[in-house]
Parts: sequence; structure tokens; C-alpha cells
Amino acid sequence: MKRKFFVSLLLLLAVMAGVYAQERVITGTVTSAKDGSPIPGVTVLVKGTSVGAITDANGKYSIKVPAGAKVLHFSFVGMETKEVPIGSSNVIDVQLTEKTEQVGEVVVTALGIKRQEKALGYAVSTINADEIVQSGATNFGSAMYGKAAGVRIQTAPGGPTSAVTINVRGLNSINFSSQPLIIVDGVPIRNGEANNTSYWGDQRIRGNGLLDINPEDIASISVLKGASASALYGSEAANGVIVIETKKGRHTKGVGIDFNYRYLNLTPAFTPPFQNEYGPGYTREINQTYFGADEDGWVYEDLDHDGTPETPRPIYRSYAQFGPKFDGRMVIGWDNKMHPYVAQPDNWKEMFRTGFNSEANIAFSKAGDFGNFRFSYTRLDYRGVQRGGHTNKNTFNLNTTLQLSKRLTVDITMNYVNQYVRNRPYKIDRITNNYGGFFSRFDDMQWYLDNYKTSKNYYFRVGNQPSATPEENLQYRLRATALLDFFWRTLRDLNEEYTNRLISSATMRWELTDWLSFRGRVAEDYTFMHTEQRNHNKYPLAIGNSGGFSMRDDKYGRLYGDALLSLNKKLGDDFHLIVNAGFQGRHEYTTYISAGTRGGLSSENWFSLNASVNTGTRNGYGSYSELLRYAWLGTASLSFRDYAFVEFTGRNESSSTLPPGSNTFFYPSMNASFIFSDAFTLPDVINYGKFRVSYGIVGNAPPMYAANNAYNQGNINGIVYNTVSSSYGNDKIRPEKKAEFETGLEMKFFQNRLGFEFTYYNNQISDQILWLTVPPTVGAGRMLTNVGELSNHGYEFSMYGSPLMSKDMEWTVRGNFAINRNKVVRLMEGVDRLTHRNIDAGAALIVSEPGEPMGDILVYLPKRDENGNYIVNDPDGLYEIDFSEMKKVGNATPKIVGGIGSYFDYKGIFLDFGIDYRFGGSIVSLPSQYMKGAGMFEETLKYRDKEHGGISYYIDPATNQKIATDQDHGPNGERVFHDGLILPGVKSSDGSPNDIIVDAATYYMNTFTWGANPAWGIPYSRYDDAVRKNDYVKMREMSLGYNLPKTLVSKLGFQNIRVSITGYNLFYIYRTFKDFDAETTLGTNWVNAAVVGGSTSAERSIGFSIRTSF
Amino acid sequence: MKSVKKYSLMTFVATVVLLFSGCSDDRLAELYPNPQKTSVATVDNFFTGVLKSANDVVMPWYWRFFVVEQPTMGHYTQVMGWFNGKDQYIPPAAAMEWRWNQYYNGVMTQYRVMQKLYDELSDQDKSDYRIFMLAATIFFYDQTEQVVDIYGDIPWSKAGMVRETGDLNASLPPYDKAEDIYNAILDDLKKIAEELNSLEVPSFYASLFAKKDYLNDGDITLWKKYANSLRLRMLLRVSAVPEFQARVQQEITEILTKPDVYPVIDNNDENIMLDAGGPDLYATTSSMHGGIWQAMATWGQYDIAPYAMVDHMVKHHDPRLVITFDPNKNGVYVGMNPLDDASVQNQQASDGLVARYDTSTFMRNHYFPGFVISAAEVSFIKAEVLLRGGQDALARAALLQGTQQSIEFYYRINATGDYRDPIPMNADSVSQYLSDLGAAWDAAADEDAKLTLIAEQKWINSGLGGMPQTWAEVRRLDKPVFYFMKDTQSGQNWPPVRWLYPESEKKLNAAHYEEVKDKDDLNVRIFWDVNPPVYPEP
Repeated sequence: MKRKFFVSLLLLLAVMAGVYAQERVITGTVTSAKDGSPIPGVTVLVKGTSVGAITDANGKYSIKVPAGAKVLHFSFVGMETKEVPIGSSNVIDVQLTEKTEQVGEVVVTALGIKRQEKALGYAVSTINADEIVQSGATNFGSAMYGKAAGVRIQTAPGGPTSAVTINVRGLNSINFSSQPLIIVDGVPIRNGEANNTSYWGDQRIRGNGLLDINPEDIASISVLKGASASALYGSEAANGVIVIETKKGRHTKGVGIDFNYRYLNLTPAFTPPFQNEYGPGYTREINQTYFGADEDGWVYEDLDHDGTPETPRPIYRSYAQFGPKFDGRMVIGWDNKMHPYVAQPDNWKEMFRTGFNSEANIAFSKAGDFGNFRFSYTRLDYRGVQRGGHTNKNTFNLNTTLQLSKRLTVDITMNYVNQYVRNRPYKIDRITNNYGGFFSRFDDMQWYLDNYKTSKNYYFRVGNQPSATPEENLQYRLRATALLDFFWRTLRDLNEEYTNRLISSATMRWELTDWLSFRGRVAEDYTFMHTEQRNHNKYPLAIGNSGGFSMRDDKYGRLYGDALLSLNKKLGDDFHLIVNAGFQGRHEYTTYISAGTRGGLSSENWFSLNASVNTGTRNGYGSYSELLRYAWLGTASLSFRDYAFVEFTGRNESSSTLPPGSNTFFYPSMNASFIFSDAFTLPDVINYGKFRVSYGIVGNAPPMYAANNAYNQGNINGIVYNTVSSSYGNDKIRPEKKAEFETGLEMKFFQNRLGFEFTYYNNQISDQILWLTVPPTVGAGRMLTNVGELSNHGYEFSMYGSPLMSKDMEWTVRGNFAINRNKVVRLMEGVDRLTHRNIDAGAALIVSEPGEPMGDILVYLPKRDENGNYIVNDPDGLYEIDFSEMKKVGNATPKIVGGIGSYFDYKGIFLDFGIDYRFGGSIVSLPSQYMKGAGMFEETLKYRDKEHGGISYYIDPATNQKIATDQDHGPNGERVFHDGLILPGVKSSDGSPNDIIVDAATYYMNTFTWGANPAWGIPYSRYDDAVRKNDYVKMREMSLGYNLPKTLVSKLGFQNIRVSITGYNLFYIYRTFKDFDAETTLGTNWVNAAVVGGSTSAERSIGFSIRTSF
Repeated sequence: MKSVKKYSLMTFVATVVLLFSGCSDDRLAELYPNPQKTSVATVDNFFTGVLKSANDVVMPWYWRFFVVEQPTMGHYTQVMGWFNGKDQYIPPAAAMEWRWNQYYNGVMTQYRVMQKLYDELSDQDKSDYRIFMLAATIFFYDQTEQVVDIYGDIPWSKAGMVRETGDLNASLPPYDKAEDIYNAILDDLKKIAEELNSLEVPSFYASLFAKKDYLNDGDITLWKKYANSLRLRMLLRVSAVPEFQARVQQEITEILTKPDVYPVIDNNDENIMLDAGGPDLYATTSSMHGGIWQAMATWGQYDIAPYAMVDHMVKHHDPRLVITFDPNKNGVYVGMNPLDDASVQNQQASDGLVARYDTSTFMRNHYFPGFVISAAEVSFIKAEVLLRGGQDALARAALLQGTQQSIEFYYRINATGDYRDPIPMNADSVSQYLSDLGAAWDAAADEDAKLTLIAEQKWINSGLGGMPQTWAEVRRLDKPVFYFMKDTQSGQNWPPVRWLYPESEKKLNAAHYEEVKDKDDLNVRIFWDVNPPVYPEP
């Protein structure tokens, strides 16, 4: 590359040397039409000759023109070329205007084919670079919130290493990949799904491949949404395509340098609404019966060993918070120290820490006759709010275009990512979705941090567990041992990931003639990841074996190639024909090898495979897999007078994931557009009008090896055996097929200051492939099946406007919304319901049923009599639940998604914000169910005492019944309690109005608990309250900044300086679900995205950013 | 310049062509199968697979004990101390579901595939591989019997067929009556036992079998004894069911009178059990999370001694006491009283006032075995049969023999533990215990009292290690009689007599589930459990 650069320079000099023979000298300055600044590096040519010059740093040029020369030709990358007639003056000053290649005008479509936006018969949303880097997001996916109509983003918490889910136009697959294909500079890169297993399948929050595409290197993003748009990309394009072009070199004086820096402070966001009035304890009855507590929930310990217990403590074993009211008295803590009995309002927050995110980027670029290049380096340092981890990431990006000759160019791109992750964020599932992790409102987080390990750095011990330091054993059985364990795993254990990824591509374009060209491309996306896990010994070897060490190497590669022959020819004056024919192939391979100690470490904290207790049989695993896909494809498009366009595409694809013999499938598409503003004369206010229509089909093959049936082979103590797994494949599987019709209207008004785009689409996805859950009695747990048909239809609307546009002031707004309606059209015979998720042993289900949208959430609801009154169980006083039938209380997919953005600039001071919203879907929040039942939330204060509406009563010792009273004592001096409630409804015994008093703790603990099944003794539990409407409007990002004035900037030697204060994931303007951040879900699968809890805390980022170029 | 251009262009085109030449139909087909799996499976490998698929229900380990059996059968048979609590007699869903899935996705599925592979063999191969098929069938029947004893009617003869039909709807299985399954198994086991008598296994296949059979190490005689002992167990279990009485009478007599034709397990060297060992068979040396250690770990308090068993052992000077339990902190052997309030129980446990299971024999025994069927159990079966047949002296002898075998058996297990030095068996105290037991027999008022003596020994023998059999026999005999705290807060006042079918059946095999819906109740007894349980109020 370097050599070519010099060769070009030499050529240029030679050209300039020839100039001396001429007679007349013309000088002048080339400036920008926009701001009058001089433009260096402009090529000035005498038309029809090879005589030329280049403007200097001040935009000045001087050229000797031969006699008879008539025109000067000025050209510069990114500017409109200008030709100026040579008159009598020897000074010619020229203003160049920027190319009006505004967003949307030229669009990169399938296979990197650039098309005029107006020629497209389908919807494409584009997002430009500024919108991506302006936000505080660490990856482009999270920066896309609300910016493209019909594109839904969901980011897992945990920072730059956590996966981002992108859904384009609702859901296209019930079971398999729902993620769009991501194309960077023409190459489909690895993205993939993440975190679609439960906590037990993987305890860490994983990422997906798109995280490695550095937002600073992105020039533009186009989202191809419909089947017709993506028909040429094949299988994975059924979920849409995100086409990313990276930044290329630009013309500058010398080498252009950009430097950007951003620092964000991270704090835990959207913490749960805990109550702070009551400490640990169950119902009065349980406290007294099982824990020997008094009526208020106090247990007394005999600390002075005088035979009389005197020191109070609440029941630390309790997961529930119905114990004694906080009163500040001194109690003996579970950490064996005395503490005042007060609430810890911030203990959830204190489980986390304040983190930061620092990102520095420097880019060098240059363009000239040799072509152009851009090289950038980005350094990311991240310390998330979860304790114990951090991430460093180095990203190098090189993008080069070499003009080998007039007809031959080569593009070379390289993106190298080097990442180190220490203790990747750990799921808090065991703290939020498990009573064993429920720390109390009394618990000081410091007690956990002090006690998760002993003074000798061993695992905490409880009761009389054998220990090196028995005196430190936690004496009072506490509830949240899972939190202690969590700290042990995140603070004491060490997990380190080293990742290197190189995405490289070479593209050659060869213009054979003016109308025929050939393009070939080879690309490789290669990732190597090395992981080491160090588990420290939990107790001395004398007590038992523990600890462990393992290493794992993962390799992932995909080799991609395509070849395309393009014909581009005018037919007469009116017609224009473009034909492409090509071949595309992709080979993917994955391998991993892991080895670990087995049975513990034979020497304490010696992290080596040699430390394996069972040396002969260390854990060793490895596997490799391969996939091949290739396709022949073709497109033909014809246009008439540049205002009517029609295009046909076809693709014949073969995939190794399909059974041999039926592994090839064909799908066609067509689209047409009509620019009526060009065809007809319209009123002046209308600048542009386009009508479009398209129809296309995309196939989707099952994932690798899913269909194939084969035997497992293993060995048990050396004896080889065969078994079959409970997953049963299917050698008759067919690819999923999505057919989509789409039509749209685009218009621009008032000199393009107002515009909108409207799209309607309708699709059917037939032969849905699913792992169908089957009863084990048939001899399998699940079976790969073509199970049914889905359909989506929807509307997308986006608009933009520039209400203010003057010399000093600029205001632009954009907004979009998309409505998607999904329906399960039919399912295979014999299947009337697909259960996607069985929550808490059938207490709630996420299902799909024919005629309904995918993802209905079903629960059991309370019984009602014929008059609609709730039926209260007599004598228990709680609502009876109708277990005969499950009822729909929500749907897992949102109906409306969208966003609003605004940019306001006054003399360089700007305010930019982005809002996104979602309406019409529900989520299941299991922590809400458990925590409400455990009395942790503020709302559970209701009925607990007089102030919160509790009914006063005493307990009749003879009948054990609760009897309402307004006296201070019962008739025989019984104590009066104030935590009663009477549920509205009628009694099950006789249908009379309910008058049974229950105490608040009994009500909450029985109504909102794990599971719902009378046969298992959970007859009153209901999950409708765990299913919450998830409507929200979120202030996603905001920045307030200043573009320093050009004059000041250039004195400092810069071209641009912009400073801003930036915030990300800021606050909800409106939300219906308030217990947690509704986005703290895990998994790119749509079902997982509907279940909140168990991930980790969301983060709010606030910081500053500096962007400069010089 | 020009040559550089040409050169790069040619290289590039060559690369592209080379890349695409890898794209062919053959290559696609080559990449279709999962390279981490094999497309070739053998009958002998599947035989080991059948055994392997049941390891998790044979060996003691965390999930099987802690989650599945201890909170249910272990609690109902008082082989361990239990903290009273609400809903304590409602089996956890996870337990009921797991046991079911283990059977169907485990041994049944593997057995069906093995059967299919076997059926596809040539006649010659069929005869060579016969022993594998017969042994697998015995084991499969043993597993089936356990599941029937828990659930009653189950899908069986038409279950596990989807890999044969490829059609889900055609494979949804109907339920077989528990009685029919018992009959079918008893019929077939008899045939197998007889076939094994005459089966000639070519030496190559005999040694292959020995290599693959990690249960009985290829000892065909042992498999024969396993089959006949299993028949005895099942025959006795249905002996009170009128329709079975004829066959029970005839077949038990046949087995007991023709030991040369129908040999059974006679001594402790012949016990069928799975030895813990190696990293794959739950030796706790490999991981404390694997074997019995975590199943009984103190934090779960599932090592607390049951009141009734300790009491029985102390009263009768049982030589097994010192190797079965550790005394409380005061050196006293006393179990946890099931009639105490939970708060009292908790206090006693945390104060170290209750005995616990012996650390060396049980909890930290790296090699605690998986019980399948033992000589002692067979002797106790004989004792009951003989007692009921009026042969008092022989019955007494069988009881004493079984008891002696049981004592020896536990001392053998104790000897495998290394937490403490093994305790040698004291021959004097054993003979004293046996003679006391004999005296008790002689002093027993009636047959029922004698049966109680047998039942007590059975209970102690199968105990914690063999909870499924312990529970089945306690239900059948309603002996020994245990005191339980009545759970008045829940609909289930007393221990159940069966488990519920899992949700997967109700939802996904709904049409056939209708057939058994009425019997799907915790209080509907299995057909062989002819008498309702007795729960005396204290």
C-alpha cells in the first residue's frame, strides 16, 4: 500500500513537471460554499489535457494553462465537481458545494450493490454516523434505539460485553434465530444469539458479535426490512439485514486526524421500590410455630449464658419481611455483632458499585489519486456496576481503497479487536429469583462483603460446618447465603477471557467495459478466545477437596466469498437496464477445547491442570462443527425515464444444515417504484413523491446439526457406551419460508424540510421450525418439527422536519413509530398449543395458539361466582383460584415501538436527545412475584398496620378466629393486632359477603409465591400480578454540547472541536412496570426478552465527550 | 505497474474460484451429520448405555436423594429425621417430574433403541448378542417395576416409540394397567430366567459382555439370580391381590423348590449393586457435589437420624447401630422425634442433641454403593413366604439368615469408608442379636407379630440406600407403624401412597391421561397395596 501511495505521488509530480512549458498562469482560491473555508487538496485540471494542479493548505492554486484551453475542471472527494470557463481574468476563485449525497439518496443494498434510493421498491431505514456516536452507547446496536421505524432494540445489562437484541418487524421465527444479518462493508459478520439458556446453562451474561463493530468507525447504517430487500442475502436475511459501511479516508491537508474521547460515570439504575419499615420474619403463626419467636417476630438469644435468653434478633432465616418493625433497638446480627435494628434503604444499590466507561478514539485518514485510507484505534476501559469485573478493549480498523488503474480498484479492510474481560458480569438470578438470595431490609451490604469469605480466605461457613476458623461460622442460619455465594464467585473466583477477532476483506472491482463490470470478494471473520477459570479452595484440604481450574479455547471462523458480474446499460433514451448475476458462498467453523481439573485442587489455590485431584481423569472436552451455505443469484432491474423502476431477484440456496437430497431451495422477489413527483408536475411545496410496492420470499434453514439424528457415544470409567439424547431431530425437515408483500409512500415538502415515509407490510412465514416439546413417554423430550404458520402485518411511519433553519439556529426533529400485529395462523395437526416457557412448574405459561398472536401469557385467575364476585375460601379468607383453566393476561411481544429524536443548535450550542417507546406488550417479572410475596416492596405495607389500612382484631383463643374490634384489648384481655384485611368477595361456604379477617403476611405470602398448584399445597397463589404491562417512554440519551467556533478552533490548529455532556439510559418519562428496569432481561430469544429478572442491574451513564479533528 | 495489476487480478480471481470450488452437493451432505455424534451404534454399546442411563436413579447423589427421594419416600418411611412443616406430605413437583423423566428419557428410550438395533441384526448376530438383550431386559424390568410402584398405571407397552414411527401423534402412548405390566414382566422374566439356563454365549461375546457389563461384570449366573430374585420381589409384592394369587403360589413355590433351575441371590457376595468408583460412578472422591456427600450434607440436615430406627436399634442392641449412626453431642443415640414441633426439632438439631447418620459409613463414604437387590432382601422375602405358607421354623431361619446377611452387608459398606477406621463386626453381639430376634419370634403372639419382625428387618435393611423399595414394602405391609405429625394446614394430612403424574402427561398426552385421571391422586393406592395405611394418633 505504501508503495502504491508513493507511485501515485511520483506520477503526480511528473504531471506537474510537464506544466512549465505553458504560457498563461491562472491563480485562485477554492473555498467551501457552505462556510467559505479554504479547501486544500482540490484537483484542478485543464479540461481535455493532463495539465493539473492541487490547491495548497490555504486553498490556493496556480496553474499554467496552454493557449487555447477553455475550461478548468475542479474536483474533490465529497464535493460536486465544477467546471469553470477560462475567461480573460487570470484569477479564478471557485466555490465548491458539498455533494448532495444526503442520507437516503444512495443506499447500499444486497451484496453491496449501491442503488439510488428512488429506485428501490422497498423500505430501507438509514442512520448516519453522527446519530450513532452522539449517544452514550458502547455499541452501535444500543445506539439504534428508536432511530429506525420497525426496529426494536433490547440490550442486556452488563455493559459493552452484553448482547444486544435487534428485532426487525416483529417476529419471524418462533424458535430459531430472530437476529438480523449484519453486513459490514459487504461481508456478513458473526453475530449470533446469546444467553438463551437458563441460569443453570450459563451463569454469565454473554455478548454477541455485533459488539465488536466500533461505532466510531461506522459511516452509515441501512436497515433492510422486508423480504424483497433481503431476498438476496439468503437464509439469515429472513430477520432483516443491517448493512454497515465503515468510514473511508477523506481529503485533508496532510493526514486528517480525528480524536475523540468520552468518559461516563456508571451508577445502578432503576432500583426496586423496597419498603423500609419492617424487617425479616414470616407470618405470626410461622414465626411462633417454627422459630420459637414471640408475637412480634423476635427471637431471644442467651448471649450471657445465664440460662435466660435476653438478646433479641429477628428471624434471619426468613426470606419474607413481615418481621418486627424497625425500632432501632440493639440486636445480635447474623454476623455475630450487635447492631441497631434499622432499615438499610440502599442495600440493593450497595450490592453494586459506581463504575465508569472510558473510550478514546484516534483516526488517521487520507484520500488522493492513489485511493484513500483510514486507520483508527479505539481504546475502551469499562468497569461496570457489578463488583469484581472489568473489560479492556482495543479496536483497530483499517479501510483502504487502492485505485490500481482507472478500471481496477481494490478495497482492503481490516478490523482487529482485542479484548480482555475479567469476571464477565454474573447473573443475579440466585438473588432475585430464588428465596435463598433474598437479603432482608435489615441487612447491611457490608456484612455480606465482610463475611462471604473467612479471615483465612475460605468460603463462609454456617452452623457447625467444618471450618478452619469455626469461631467465624455464621451461627444464626441466615437466608441469603446465595448472596454470600454470589460475592464469592464474583470477588474471589476469577474468570478471565482473552479475545482476538480479525475481520478482513479484500474486494476487487474491475470495469471490463463501460457497461460491464466484475466484482470479487473474499473475507474472513476469525475469532479466537481463551478463557481461564480459577476457583479458589473453599475450605482447607483437610476438610475436603474443592476449588478448580479450567482453560478453554474457542475458535470461530467464517470464510465468505462472492463474485458478481454486473451489466449496466442504457437502452435508448428512455430505458435503463441493470443485470447482476453472481455466486455467494460461506463456510463457518467452530471449535472449542477445554480442560479442567476434576475433583478439586490437590494443592490449595494452585491453578494448574497438574493440581487436579483426579489426575488420570481431568475434565477434557472439545468439539468442532462446520457449516456450508452457497447460492446462485441474479437480479434484473429496468427503469423508465428515471421515474419508474422495476426489479426482479432470484436466489437458489443450498445449506448443509438441511437433509441431503432436499437441501436446496429457491426464492424470488420483485419490487417496483414510481416517482410521481418526477412523472407529473406537482405543486411547488412537494419536492419528492414516491410510491413503491414489493413482494418477496426468503427461506430460513434450521441451525447446524439440529435436524441430524445420530448417537451419543461416551464412556463410563473407560467402558464405551451409546445412548440417544432426548432431542430428536428430523430428516424430513423443510426450510422456513417467509413471503412478504409491502407497499409504501414517501414524500418530501418545503425544500425537503419536511418529509415522511409510510409503509404497510404483510407477511406469512410457513413451515415454522420448532423444537416441539413432546411428552417423554413417546421416547424423546423434544422433536424438530415444521410446526405451523405465522403471519405479521404492520405499519411503519417515520417523519422528519426542520422547523427552524437559519444562520444561527437549527432545529431538526425526527420521529417514527411502527405497529406490528402478529398471529399464529395454524399449527400442525395434533398440536393446539405451543408452550414456549413453562414458568414455575406451570404457574404461568408463555404459549402460542392458532388464531392468537405468538407469546400469549397465561395464568390462573381467582374464581368468581355467577355475579362476578370473587370467591373467598372459608375459613382461610383468601381468594380461591380457578385451576380448571388458564387465562390470557398479556402478550410477550410489543405492539408499537418507536422513537423521537431532536437536535437543536444555537450558535454552536446544541441539545440533542433521543427518546424511545414501546407499547402494548407485557413482561413476566418473577422477582416481582417473589418479592411482593416476601413483603419486600413498598406496596406490601398496605394492611400491615393502622397507618396502612390494617384492620384491628384479636384472636379468640377458643376458636382461633380473628375477630374485629375497636378496643385496645379483646374481651378477655387478648392482644389486639392491626394487620388484618378482609378481601372483597363472597364466602365459598354460603355465598354471603366475606367477613373473614386474614393477617397481611398470610395474605401476601400465600397469594404471591412460587408456583401455583393446589396439589402441591400452593392453592392461593396467582401470577397475574407477575405479568405486567410493559409500556414505556424512555429518555434514552441526551447531550448538551458546544461546537467551538471555527475561528477559535483553527487558531488552536484544529478543524473541529465539540465538547458535550452526555447521558445514556437516563430515565423513564412514562412506564407501567416500576419494579425493575424492564430491559433487564437476558437472551436474544424473544421469549427470554419477555421475562425480567436474574440478569444484573441496569446502568445509568452520565459523562462528557470531546470530539476533535485536525 | 501493469504487471502488478495483472498479477493481483489473477491471484484474486484464483482465490475466489478456489473458494467456490469447495461448494458442492457432496460437501453439503458431508457436513450434514454432527461430527460430535456417531451414526454407527452397536447393541453392546447400547447395553452399557441402558445401564448408564439409570445410574442417576441407582446411585445415591445430590439430586436423587436431596431433591427427590429424601423429602418424599425417605420422609414417609422415617429412614431419616424430618423437620415438620406445612405441606410436608405433598411431594415436590420437581421430585415427581424428575423420576418420571429419568425413566422415560433414560432407560426406556435407550432400551427401545437397543431393541430396534437388535431386531435389525441378522439371525446369527441375534443369537450372538442375545445375552446383551436379555440382561438389558432384566434391568429394564427392574426399573419399570420401580416406576409402576410409584405411579401405578403408566404408558408402557406402546411408550417410547417415536424414534420408530417418526410420527408424534401416532406415538402418544396409552396407559397400561399396573397389573398388566406386572403380569407381562413376570411372564417374560420367567422365560428369560429359563432361557439363560440354556443360553450358550460364544466366548468372544461372553468376554465382550464381561467388558460392557459394569453391573455384574459379565457374570451370567448373577444375571440369572438377578432375574429370579426380581421375580420373587414382584411376586411377593402382588401376593395379596386375589387375581395374582394362583401365579404367585405356583411360581414362588417353583423358585424356592428348584434352586438349580431358578437360582436366586444367596449371599452377600452375590448382591446386585452398583459399586461407586471411578469418576463416573459417583465416588465422592471425585467431587463432594457428586455422591452421597452432598445428598446428606449437614446444611441440608438430611443426615439427621430418625427417631424410630434409632430407638429400635438401641432397644434391641442392634450391631448395626454403631456403624449406621453417630450419637449426639452427649454420646447418646437418640433420633429426631417426628411428633415434636418444628421449633423444638430445629433447636435440638442446632444444639447437637440428635444423632446423625454415620459419617464414615454414609455421608463421607466415597464408595457408598447403589442398591439393586441384596441377599438379605431375598431372605426376607423367603421368610414372609414361608411364614404365610405355615412353615414357621423355615421362616424363622430365613429371617435370621437375612438379618445376619444385612448386618454383614452394612459392615462391608462401613469397611469401604475411610473417614474413620472401619469398625470390625463383633461376632458375639451379632449372635446375641440374632438369638434375641429368634426369641422374639418364638415369643410372638401370632403371625402378624412375626410379620412385624420381618418388616422391621426389611425396613432397616433397605433403609436409606434403597428408599424406593423401603417405601413400597412399608406401603404393602403397613409395617412398621410410624407416628407422624398430622398436617392440619394442608389438604394432605398424612403421607401419600403414590405420586402424581407430571404436567407433561396432563398437557401433552392429554387424551390418554384422561384414562387415568381419576386415579391421579396422592391417596389412591397402587393395586398391590390392598390395605389402607394406618396412622395412629399419638
